[in-house]
Amino acid sequence: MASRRTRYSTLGLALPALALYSVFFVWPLASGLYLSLTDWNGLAKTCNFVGLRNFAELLGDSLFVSSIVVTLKYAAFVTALQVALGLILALLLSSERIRFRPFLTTAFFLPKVMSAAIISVIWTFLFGNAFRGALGLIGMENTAFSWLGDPDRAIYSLGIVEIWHGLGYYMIILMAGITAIPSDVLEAAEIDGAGLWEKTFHVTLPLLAPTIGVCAILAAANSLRAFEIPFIMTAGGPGFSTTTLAYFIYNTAFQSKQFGYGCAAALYMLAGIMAVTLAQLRIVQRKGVEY
Amino acid sequence: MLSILLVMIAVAYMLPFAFAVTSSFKSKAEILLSPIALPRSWSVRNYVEAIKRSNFAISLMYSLTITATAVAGITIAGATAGYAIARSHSALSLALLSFFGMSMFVPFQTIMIPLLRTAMSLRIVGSVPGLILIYIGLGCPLAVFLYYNYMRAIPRALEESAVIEGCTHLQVFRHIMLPLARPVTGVVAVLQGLWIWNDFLLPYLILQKPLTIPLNQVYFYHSFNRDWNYIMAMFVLSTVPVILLFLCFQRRIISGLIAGAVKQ
Repeated sequence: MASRRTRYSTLGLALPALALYSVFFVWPLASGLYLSLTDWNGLAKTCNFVGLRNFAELLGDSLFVSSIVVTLKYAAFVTALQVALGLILALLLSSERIRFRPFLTTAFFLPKVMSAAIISVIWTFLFGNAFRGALGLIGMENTAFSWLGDPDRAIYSLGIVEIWHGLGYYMIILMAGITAIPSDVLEAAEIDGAGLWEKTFHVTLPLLAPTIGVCAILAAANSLRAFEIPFIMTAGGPGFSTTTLAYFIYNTAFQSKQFGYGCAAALYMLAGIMAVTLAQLRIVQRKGVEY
Repeated sequence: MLSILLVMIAVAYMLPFAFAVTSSFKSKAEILLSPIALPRSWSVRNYVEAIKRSNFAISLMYSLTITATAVAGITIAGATAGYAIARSHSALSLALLSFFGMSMFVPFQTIMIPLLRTAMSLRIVGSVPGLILIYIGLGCPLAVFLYYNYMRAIPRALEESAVIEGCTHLQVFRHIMLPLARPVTGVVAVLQGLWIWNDFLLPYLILQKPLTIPLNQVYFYHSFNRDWNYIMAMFVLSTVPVILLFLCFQRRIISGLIAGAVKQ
């Protein structure tokens, strides 16, 4: 009797979290599944059940397809450079031969603690005024191109902002991974006559592979959700060249008032992010077994 | 040599801040004519104007209140639930953990539209307490996991002796478990505090007024589109609190973020 009462009273402690999580996450997720099967417009009290029509229509919606292409371009660009540059910086900053390491770590990490919304404002200024001014100083003002106004280039300009913002985060995760490599492994390699180059490529990097994989997953999952930077810097333009999937969902719901349609697009997004994450997870785990 | 090169790259990396600071002291015309040069005079006029026109003090108050209350709520809800799960039977704790775990994969945009619908039917659109409750609901799963992992490893003998002494479960939690789990509380505060302080889309949808600092910055940017002198002053004001906080607690913030990354 006493033990049963104990069990209930401990479980009662989980109630606040369970209640708020259910109301603001589980219930919206479930009602999103239902709304995606309707033509709800966001205001009406009622809506019609349309089955899978939204999902089928999305596949033929050129704006939806283009938003996926834009998002994939952005995510590939951002993920590759964040992980590669983060890795190079982490290797350099973990080396005892480099001086001023606390300053360097702070400098590269600092942008991460700031809001993406706020840095979007300053980068709009940089791309507009400051870069032109810098080129003017060296007499090359005429060669200045429009960073945000060129439909082929704009999405990569936004990618640069994202890379600048998040690079330091992957750098510190990788630095922690390097610190965790047992020093006797590296000493053994040294005794065997391995130079710095060989130690890095044959000992450090293989042992770091799982951490690199974690970084790639985090960077991909994060950049596939890109919203604030295109929303504030380019409003999805010029044309629809920077309308990411997250932005497409926002527009569909809050500009075109097609809430049901937007819910369906949001479920495609969920499926996409889960697929990418699980695929990467499998690759990382396989790599982990190899070494 | 390599050190010098890296220092130069790091300085270049921080040039956006340098631009913002120098521009915030220039006049509008000066920014357009000589964007690179140092300001002719270090007048704080732009700051005075930006603070006045944006109601900066009010947004600072709201950001502080929302972040502090939501983080406190996440800590309490997450720690109590993490403790309850750590001390319940394995089948039940597994079920609860997977229930909370669902949220890990799901991007905010997937629940964004129905969440707004829920908020409308609960009549909390435009409400600051409502926003805080949403933050607790969305932020507690990570806290549940971190506390669960930590408290699971704390030996039960500690609690049992306290119960024999006549403590209730709430007292055990409050006076034994929570103080022991202080490192987790630090991690949760860093991760969720930074997220909420910097968040844009959720308060944009729920509050629909420029009440928090990121919202204020973006609204200000839209309404003073070409007045870069004011916008830059506003940028400096908006980022100074979080930069100062980071410089003071750098080691703790970085280790908190690493712990969060490994858990996810």
